[in-house]
Amino acid sequence: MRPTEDIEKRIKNVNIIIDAESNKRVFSNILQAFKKSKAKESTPTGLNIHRIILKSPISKLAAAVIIVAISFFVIHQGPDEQADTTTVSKATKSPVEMMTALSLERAFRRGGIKAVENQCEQALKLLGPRTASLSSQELLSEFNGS
Amino acid sequence: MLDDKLLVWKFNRGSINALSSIYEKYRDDLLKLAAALLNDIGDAEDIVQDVFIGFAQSAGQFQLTGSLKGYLATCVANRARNRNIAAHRRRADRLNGNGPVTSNLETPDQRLMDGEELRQLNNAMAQLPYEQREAITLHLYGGMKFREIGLLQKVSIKTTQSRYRCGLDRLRSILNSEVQK
Repeated sequence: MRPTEDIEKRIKNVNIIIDAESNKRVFSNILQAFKKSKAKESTPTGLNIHRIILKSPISKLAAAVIIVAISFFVIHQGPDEQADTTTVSKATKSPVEMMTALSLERAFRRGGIKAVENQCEQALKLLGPRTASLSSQELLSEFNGS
Repeated sequence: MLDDKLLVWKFNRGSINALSSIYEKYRDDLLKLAAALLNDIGDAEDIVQDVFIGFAQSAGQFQLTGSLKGYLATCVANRARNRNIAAHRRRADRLNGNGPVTSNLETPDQRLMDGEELRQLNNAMAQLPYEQREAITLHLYGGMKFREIGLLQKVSIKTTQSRYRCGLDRLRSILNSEVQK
């Protein structure tokens, strides 16, 4: 055997005697730390899903794609169509508002000449039955809502 | 290696048996490593305990990338180096008259019983430069490759190998001269 191998073997095989009592004590300290860390881990944090997403790069990407898709859908689909129908019905409170150029133009864009006619009819219905003869002054005062 | 992976997997899932197996498996080598680096059995035991406590606290999130023994040996070597630096500072303070004078004798509650052979070897090790001592002990007790030791010491593999060989030669001559006496 070469002298280098000899000294390597001697270093490797040196004995260490461990006191059983102290070994027990040391291991109980280690065990205590282990149990503490387990208890800490099992307490609910409330942000577990968030943590899972942040940990995995694939789920991170998937979450980003879902968020972008939802926001795109909301912007381009959802509120625009609804806004068109609700704004008209909300805006058409008084016959005067229904007969403004802006309101009529909106109605035309929404449903063409038919929608304009409908809006005019609705305005007339709101105004109620008309007398056969109506002066221009009375007509204007009525349109103004007084 | 596979055995270690399985133990770590069980340890991460809260198995006390796995922790106990890891402790029993590597305790002796880590104690010998720490004792050789510090030349103090009591300090060695403290360091090994600290390393295992740190390891136990990482349960559930510990990720094994290399060998488990190598990881634990690196932890021991880092802590031993820090302790040596702190001891060196304290000694320098004492020499300058800034710190308390303490005895270097073994404490009565010395928990680990070091055999004559180990004591002799550690005394011989203490005469080596720290880098050589570290290269020898990490390779023989920590089972680390020269490349890994080189990374830890921030030197090339060649330098680590040379430190190892020079250290062994010197250690042999120290031990032989002690036998001749």
